[in-house]
Amino acid sequence: MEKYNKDNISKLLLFKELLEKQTEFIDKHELDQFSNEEEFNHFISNENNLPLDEHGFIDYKKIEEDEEI
Amino acid sequence: MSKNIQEVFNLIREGNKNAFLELNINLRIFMNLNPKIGEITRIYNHYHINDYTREEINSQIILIIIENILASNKLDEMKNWTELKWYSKRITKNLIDEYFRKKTREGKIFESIDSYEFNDDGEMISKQFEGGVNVDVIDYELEYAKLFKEVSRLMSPKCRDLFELVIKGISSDEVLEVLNNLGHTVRDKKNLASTKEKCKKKLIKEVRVHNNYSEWEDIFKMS
Repeated sequence: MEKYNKDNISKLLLFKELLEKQTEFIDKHELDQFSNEEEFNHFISNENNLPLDEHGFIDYKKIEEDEEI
Repeated sequence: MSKNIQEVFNLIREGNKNAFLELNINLRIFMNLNPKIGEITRIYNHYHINDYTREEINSQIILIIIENILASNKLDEMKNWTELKWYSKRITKNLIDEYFRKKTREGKIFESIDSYEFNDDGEMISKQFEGGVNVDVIDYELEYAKLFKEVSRLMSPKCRDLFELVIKGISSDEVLEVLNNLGHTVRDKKNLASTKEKCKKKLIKEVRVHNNYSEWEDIFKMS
């Protein structure tokens, strides 16, 4: 696979845009404040109102859609 | 329960924004401004890197990792978030080296830090990256050279010459002089800045008119 073909560059540009939006989201919700993975996972599972998806990830897409409404 | 890092990578390859957020959060924890939490911050503190440069490097670290997830098999053997932490610290060190090399070229500093190595506490040691981490040494300059080669094909001659000069880190005055010597008309610094912006916009447009962009964008929006 050629690493830097145009498809990959296109994807990288989209992720770059998303990175900026998500970094603001992380700052806003102080999601970078955990000392270890266990503490983060505990927060995600028990101590907040952030929606989760089927994989147990914070459902950023849902949040984004809710914000659009 | 801890998530399997390869599962996260696979979902990112499919354009899953939630998986990308999971990765982003984990990396941002390493970059936390509190040095007790942010191991990468401890590295910045050790090298006295200013806030603006930290943020620039932080974004580059995440993008390099994303590039390697999307477009290479370099991280296929990575087993857990601890390995990712080591990997991101290694990228940090290389980017800091590159930052100082660039500053040296600009004549702003007079010492080399090429031989420095450090441990978790920011103490200088040697060979600290050895052992336990099964990830190849990342060759940034080569990778970026390849990227640049691919991207430069999409640019006009004027833009290509301009970007080649800009990434060399030379002053605006020198860029202006060389561009005019090459036969491109760029009147002054203001005109240079607007030319850079136009080139960037044209490049993004050029990339996006390419074949599969819309298809991928749809997948990205839906996932």
